[in-house]
Amino acid sequence: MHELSVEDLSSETRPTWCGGCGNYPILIAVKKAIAQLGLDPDKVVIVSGIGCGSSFPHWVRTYGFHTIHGRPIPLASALKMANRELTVLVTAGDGDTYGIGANHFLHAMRRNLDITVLVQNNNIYGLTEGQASPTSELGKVTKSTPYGVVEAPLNPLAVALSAGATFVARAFSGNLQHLTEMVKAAIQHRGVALVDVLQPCVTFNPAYSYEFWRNRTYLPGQHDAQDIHAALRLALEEDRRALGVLYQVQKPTLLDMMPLPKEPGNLSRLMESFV
Amino acid sequence: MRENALCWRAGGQAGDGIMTVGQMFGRVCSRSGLHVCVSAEFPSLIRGGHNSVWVRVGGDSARAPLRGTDLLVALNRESIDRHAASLNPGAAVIFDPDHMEVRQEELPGKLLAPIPLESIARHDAGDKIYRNVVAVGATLGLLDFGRDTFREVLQSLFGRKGPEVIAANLAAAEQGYESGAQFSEQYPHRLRAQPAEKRMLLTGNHAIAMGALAAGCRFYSAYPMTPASELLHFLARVEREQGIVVRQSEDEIAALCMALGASHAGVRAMTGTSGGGFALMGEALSLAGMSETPVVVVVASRPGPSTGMPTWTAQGDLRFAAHAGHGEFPRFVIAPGDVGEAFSCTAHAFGLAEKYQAPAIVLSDRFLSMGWWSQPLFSGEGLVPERGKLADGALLQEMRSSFGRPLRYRESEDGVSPRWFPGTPGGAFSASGNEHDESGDTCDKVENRTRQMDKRLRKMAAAEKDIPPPQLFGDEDAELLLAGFGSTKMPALDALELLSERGIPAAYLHVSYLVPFKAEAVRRIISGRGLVVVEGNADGQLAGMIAEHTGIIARQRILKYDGRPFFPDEIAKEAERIGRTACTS
Repeated sequence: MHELSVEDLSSETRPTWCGGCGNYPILIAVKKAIAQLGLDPDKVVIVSGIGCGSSFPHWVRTYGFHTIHGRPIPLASALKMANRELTVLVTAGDGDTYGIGANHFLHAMRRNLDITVLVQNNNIYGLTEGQASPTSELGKVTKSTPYGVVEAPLNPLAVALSAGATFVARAFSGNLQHLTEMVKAAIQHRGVALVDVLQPCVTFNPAYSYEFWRNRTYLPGQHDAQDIHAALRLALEEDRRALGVLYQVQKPTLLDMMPLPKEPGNLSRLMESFV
Repeated sequence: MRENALCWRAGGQAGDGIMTVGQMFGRVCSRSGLHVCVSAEFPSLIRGGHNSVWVRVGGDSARAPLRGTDLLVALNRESIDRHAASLNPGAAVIFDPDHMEVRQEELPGKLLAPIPLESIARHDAGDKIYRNVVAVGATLGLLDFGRDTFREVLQSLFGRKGPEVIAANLAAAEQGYESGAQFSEQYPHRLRAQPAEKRMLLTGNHAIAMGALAAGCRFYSAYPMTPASELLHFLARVEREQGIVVRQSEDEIAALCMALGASHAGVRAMTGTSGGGFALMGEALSLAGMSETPVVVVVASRPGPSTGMPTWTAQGDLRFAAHAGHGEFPRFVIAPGDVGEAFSCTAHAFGLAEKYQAPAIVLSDRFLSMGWWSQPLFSGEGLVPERGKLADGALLQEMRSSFGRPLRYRESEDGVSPRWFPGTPGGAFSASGNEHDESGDTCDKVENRTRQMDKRLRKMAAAEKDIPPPQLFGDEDAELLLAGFGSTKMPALDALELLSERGIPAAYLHVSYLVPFKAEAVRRIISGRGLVVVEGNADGQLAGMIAEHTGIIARQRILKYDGRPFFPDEIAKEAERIGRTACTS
């Protein structure tokens, strides 16, 4: 069998994202990660929500499920529980994951099921044309906040860490190679893995351009990714954003604690217990 | 002497273990070949408040609780104050004279049976916690019935807890029996064991869960909500021995989304909730419709709107179940009428959901879901349904777009497209909640939209032929025709017997399968008769559906929405009045 290339994983339909959209590198990174890890695309399922980036599964030749806004995590979680051989990835935006789906996000982090949650975080609602998202900064003027955002932005990495996540990483879609490494590491992690991808929306959030993030992100030199306090310190930095694996530990996954169900049991015996 | 027709009632404070008393007595009767219906009333509290449990016992049937009481076990004084008015002529009251004073003048003509339940429990069993066992023993002594069977029941309930616990229980039962037996001669009621096939005593929720297991359900996700929580508890308890994965999700939205995820992976999946939780599931239900993902959703209703009365019953969610979710998509709504149907309809729901790749809603209510009935063992044989159209490798190769994409949503005569599961080689596709073309790709072109809508909705026409017709009970030629759905079947069938005793011919039309609606079959049955709908809601929701599908408007309606199930005599009385009025007008 020949080695899978990114082209093999491309579908014949082309993305409809704006030119320069931060989603393109993410799409390439995911395909590269699948190819480089040698995964069987028929055993990969990409589950997305709703948002510009959530058309993602249609543009990768793996299995997919383009679900509804905020709900890809629970659907993906049960897919993994039902078939443990599948590699399951969630791709969803910041509004999807940290806004409407925040409850599922929180519980996915503490559930430690072996899935990867890849968040296309562009700090804005793109598909609905420019409203504030849970990660929009204070004072930001958007269509829904003409006088500026007055609610503090959510810090998804700090939330994930305190919720019990076992793999927390941040990447930037302007650094494809690093992004690809982060996606690969997340897929390889046993347990839930969060990759928050800083991603420019060139149309509705032009202030957060590639250049903007290039100037505000950095790769920490010395960092102990097993130290949750060190990870939290990085996550809580406000003036700049550390890229890379902030935190990774091994803990029993949900599936480790859920024995593979046996064949269906004896119903007659169960009924007898009610006599 | 009245034999094998008894309405027993026990009352006490929340936390007194009233339900256990009812179940123990019910089990003794059920094991003795009698028909049993156990129904409890309790507020939404863990401690405090008044609880009561009814056990109706019959030689031929016991479907719904009756209002009268033949034997009252009063674990507190409030039980007497509350239930005195329900005491039938010749009724007896068992109470603990150390804890309350009851004077004969308060209850003229009733047999007072003062039995020191707690003191017997302490003295003979060593702990006052055995008071309830003493009370059941006293009941049986009074009825001169079931002494040995009670011992067996205690063995099977507490056998695992060791010989000391068993010995204490048996001592409590024995002393209770002796104390009750002292009053037996003065009491006109008797129960007698009769030969019968082996029976379980179980709730509608148990029956639904067993129906799901029999149909091969391997995944259940739910968020706790009365009256559906028992589904979660019971399935979680048997999770490992029955080979099913049970997850308590973070909310009901996740509960249904998880069931969809498991189903998409090829596993038969179910979720369960009540009206409020089902409201949260609306969007995901619609996703099931659009993505053509089979799933079974149990909705056990309670009185709304909003939190309403969480521990009481209602049939107010029929229209909600029939229309929940935005947009138009095929679905099934099935409302079982008793525990037997709860089992068979749930199993069937899986078959329908899979065959038509659509959500199937099993609509229950608090009365059915949390009431206990005696029921012969279900036959689980052969109930694992066919998976419907599945694509094998060859078909997968054949069903390709011009781009070579497999066509998950391929056009077909009955609207059902072959499906396959992630992991199948060469089958990569994306399921979608967006409108899509045959391959699953997002597509909003005019022709495609109409074709895909037609394809999905066509499934309903095909499915209508696949569901059983409504059932007609009683005097099939009677002018007076009652009609209902769901758990109303039980009090309605009892009402038919009462009407028959009064010489009034009547029939009952029971509609379990509500969506799709068997319009022609219903029309044939109701045409030219005096139709009276009987529903546990204020709107006459079944009447509305009948009107919508048959054009026949049921002007006579017996509606109840006070949180209590129908009592057979209230249906009979009202039906008789309506019948008389209709004849004289």
